[in-house]
Amino acid sequence: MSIQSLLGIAQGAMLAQAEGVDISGQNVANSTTPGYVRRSVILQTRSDRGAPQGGVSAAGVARSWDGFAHQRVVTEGGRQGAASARSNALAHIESLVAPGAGDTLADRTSALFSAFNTLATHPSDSTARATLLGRAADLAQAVSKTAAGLSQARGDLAKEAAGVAGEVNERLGKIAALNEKIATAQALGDSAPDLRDQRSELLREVGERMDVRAIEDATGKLTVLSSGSVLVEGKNASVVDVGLSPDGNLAVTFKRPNGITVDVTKSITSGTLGGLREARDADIPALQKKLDKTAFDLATAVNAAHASGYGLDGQTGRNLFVPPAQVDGAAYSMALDPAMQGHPERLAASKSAADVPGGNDVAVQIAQLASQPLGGTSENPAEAFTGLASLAGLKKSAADAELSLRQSTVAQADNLLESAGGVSIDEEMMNLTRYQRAFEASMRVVKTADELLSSIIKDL
Amino acid sequence: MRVTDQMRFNVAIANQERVSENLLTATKRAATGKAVDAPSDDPVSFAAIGSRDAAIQRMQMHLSAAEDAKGDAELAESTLAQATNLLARARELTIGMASGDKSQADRAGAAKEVTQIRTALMGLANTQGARGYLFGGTKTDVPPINGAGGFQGNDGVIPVEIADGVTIASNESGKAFTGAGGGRDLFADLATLATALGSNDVPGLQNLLDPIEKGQRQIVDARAGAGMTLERLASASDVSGSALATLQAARSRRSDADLASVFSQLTQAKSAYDQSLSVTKEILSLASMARGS
Repeated sequence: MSIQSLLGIAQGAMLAQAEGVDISGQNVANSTTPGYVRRSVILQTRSDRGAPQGGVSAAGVARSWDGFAHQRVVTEGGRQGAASARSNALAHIESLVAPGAGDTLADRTSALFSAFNTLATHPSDSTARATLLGRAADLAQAVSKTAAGLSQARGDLAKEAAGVAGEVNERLGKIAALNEKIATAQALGDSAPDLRDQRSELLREVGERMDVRAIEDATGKLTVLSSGSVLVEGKNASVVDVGLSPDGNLAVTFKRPNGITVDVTKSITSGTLGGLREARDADIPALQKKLDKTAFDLATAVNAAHASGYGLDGQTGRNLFVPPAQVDGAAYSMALDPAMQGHPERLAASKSAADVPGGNDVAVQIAQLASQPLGGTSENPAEAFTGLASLAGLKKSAADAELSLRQSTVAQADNLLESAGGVSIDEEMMNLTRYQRAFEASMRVVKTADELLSSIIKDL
Repeated sequence: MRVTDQMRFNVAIANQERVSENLLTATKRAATGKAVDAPSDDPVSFAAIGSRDAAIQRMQMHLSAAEDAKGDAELAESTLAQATNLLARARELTIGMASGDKSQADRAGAAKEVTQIRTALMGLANTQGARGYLFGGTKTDVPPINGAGGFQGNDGVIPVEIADGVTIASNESGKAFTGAGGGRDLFADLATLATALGSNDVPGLQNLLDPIEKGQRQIVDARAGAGMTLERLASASDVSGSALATLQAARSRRSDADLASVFSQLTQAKSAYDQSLSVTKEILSLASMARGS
């Protein structure tokens, strides 16, 4: 070994340690960058015959990537996204069907029957009649407004789902573009860690919105799959489209680059899109169905009794509410019968014209509906409306519990990924010190070689 | 496991969020005093509270109906009591004037009194309560007895619901005064009595003793019926009032937060919040130390 080769070894070592300092610097700089995966310099003994042997060189940069942990983050993130979207949607629905105490549909129903009870006590009292008419209109309006609110919520959720699809499409396009860049870089021997970080982060963001899986091929391209269909293949990305099916439910389709359209609606169960779909097409319709049934049964029962009675004008056969034609839509169309509006004297309290004005049998009969099971159920009218609010609460509570569970599993998956690829400042500080010391020692080697050369020159 | 700064921050943030949420829940419960604010807080309890609310509303309905009807029943009972007294006086006059030792002048004076009794009785029969005329059946807007003493009401019953599915009649028919459909027509009998007294018709007076007594019994029976109705309404009112208190207590147990427990939870949540803040500060200082070194 010559002094010249010693200088070569020291020079190589200084370059390698400087590379280490550079990588640690990158890690520290990106310690809070979302999706950044820590790098480490690969140091190896230099063994090429043309150069001084026994030295060190930076053979490359390793990216601490854990594909399994990342897929878990994507999967669990999707489940959390679904639970979060459903919980948020149901929070609004809960406030619709269960407003504050005193304003609930159950409260308004009880108030109506209480007004019938007052009418029974004072059948000819004009104030009692006007109050009853007001309560009936108030209940009908509240039921109709609740139905309209539920319908509006479904419309809003459809718009939100379309917005989510737009976000997904934007990211799928970026992933496809990155696929191309990564494959090109990889062909030139560059592993392109920065581009891979960006692509992984985009995949995670897509996963939060819908269920996806990804497979990377040997060229570095990522194939993204969802619901058994390909979303991204190489530089081509499908377009996710959210529309409405003929039955009014969400219809999710993938439009492949080759023009083929695939309906994947039923497979969309995860991610924000899955959560929105469940809230919109399962939770809300269940509430609408119960609201419609209760409104139909209530209006029909009250109308049947009311039509059998006689008003102060001696007339009979009048409905209190507009008779619902069918269960579907009964809540939305619930309203005071136009013939009754502004005519409290037409309220039927007596069972016969001869009983007018003191007869109260029909008023008593309607007031008794307050305690009677409605439409073949075991619930009286107020309980049926409370049951509706309780059903919304049950769904919201289940969504919250699911969200809490998913937050926990996402945290675990994040920790797993972070443990493998996250930046530890402590670790990087130690690495910096290590590379710095090695760099300083290499400089010392240079100095020693220089002294040896000086001695030789001086002695000669 | 390799631990990074981000992991420590994530744990700190997650803990802080959790304890903040717990503190918010505890604060809300302490401020409102309610254990269940929204259905999702406890859907089963919410349904139970809603069911109790409906039962409370119905009980208040029954209580209010019984109390309202009680007012008219009390008035009917006292009116019939006055009618009984008037008829007792008419009977007393009939018995007294039917004896041979009374003069024509005595009987003429008695005739005037009987006419006044008949007029007073007519006024009583046309008494109005909160729901209109008390003794007109369901014809509450027309005086049940016309000027000639004829009955122009009906025998309609005014039911009152005193419990779920249980109704009782709350009125007494005016037929007790006129005997429509069987019984004595008190106004006709009193008119006949006045005529007999005015014409000094002693045998006629003796013949009227039995009808007047029957008429009086008729009103006594009606009064007993009114008293019984009043009793049932009062009893229903008591039962409803008691049941209402029980229901309200049961509802309160389910919906209201236990204050001792709530304030204990609030203290614990606040303490956990403070501790979590300290831990977060510690994590931040660890990171600073690492950078400083």
